[in-house]
Amino acid sequence: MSFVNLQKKEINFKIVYYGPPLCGKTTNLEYLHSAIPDDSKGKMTMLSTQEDRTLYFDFLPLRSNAIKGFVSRFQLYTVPGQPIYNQTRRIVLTGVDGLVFVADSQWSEMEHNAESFQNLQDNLNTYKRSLHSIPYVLQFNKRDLPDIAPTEYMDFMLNQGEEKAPCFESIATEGEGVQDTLNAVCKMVIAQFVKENVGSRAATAAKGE
Amino acid sequence: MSAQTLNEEQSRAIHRVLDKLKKDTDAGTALVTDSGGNILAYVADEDDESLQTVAALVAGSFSATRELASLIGEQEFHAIFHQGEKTSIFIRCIASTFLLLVVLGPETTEGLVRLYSEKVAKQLLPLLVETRRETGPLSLEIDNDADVF
Repeated sequence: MSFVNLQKKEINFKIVYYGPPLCGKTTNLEYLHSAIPDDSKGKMTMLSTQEDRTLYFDFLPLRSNAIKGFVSRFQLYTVPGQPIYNQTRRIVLTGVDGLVFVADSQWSEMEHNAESFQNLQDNLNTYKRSLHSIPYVLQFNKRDLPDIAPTEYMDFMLNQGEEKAPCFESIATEGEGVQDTLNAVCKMVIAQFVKENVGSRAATAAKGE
Repeated sequence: MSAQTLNEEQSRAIHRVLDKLKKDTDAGTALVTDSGGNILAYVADEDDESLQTVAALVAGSFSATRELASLIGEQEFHAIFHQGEKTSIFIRCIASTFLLLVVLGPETTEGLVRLYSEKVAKQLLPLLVETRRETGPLSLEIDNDADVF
């Protein structure tokens, strides 16, 4: 849930990168950490196993001036992809404002993509939330590898909501498509925030409620 | 889902309580975060950016221990203490939704921090609950064409 501090003129948003094991969630955050200027980012924290697999989450705090007069703080999290860490994935989804689903483009990973996408929806359901009410984008990662599925196929498989989510092709190891993905989800999150907190409150005030 | 909003008056009131806690216990940092890791207020010697990470980790850590508590038949652990060689962290849950965090060095003791934190949690509760109420409309100006990053 976004948080507004009127004294410090700050708004906090939480973005979670979700997806199957080894799809490139951490690589997305590592690229962003290297590409975004120092004055717009904080320290990146990775809670990993000795084998460099995400154990709990990765965390990267970013700052932007997208909303005039406020500092917009986007707190980026990843979840651990491995099936045994489902409790952890559910915890990281607490209060999420926006989602990036990172799908692995290799044919061999299609089943894992579908399982992870279903797992995301199941975990959101435990908070009585769903993808209908949370802004999200799809990222088709590893487009540089051989034996990958066409984007049309991945779109058909993962993008079956009433409103189609924006899709981005990416090669996260080279940074291709990574910043575009982030910008898209951040803009959607801000638009949702305005809709829920400016529009509804103004409308409520206008009715004298 | 509308946002949680902290106005200037609420912020000052919470800050006053934390400031007194820090002085009474001789602690290094006193901070209140919500369960999502959003900092509501703090009094600290640390810089703001490192505290963002501290709050995210504390919120995550507390959520994990809540799962642990449920496995042994508890709803949650009300307090957690991370003991270091020189510096330690005491975390006190407030109404299952907010966390009071105190970073304490060798100048103070766990017992003293626990004692004062109990009192402070009761003082903070009505102030924190107030931040969950609907407030007036926000006025925001956004450039829809510009990239966020």
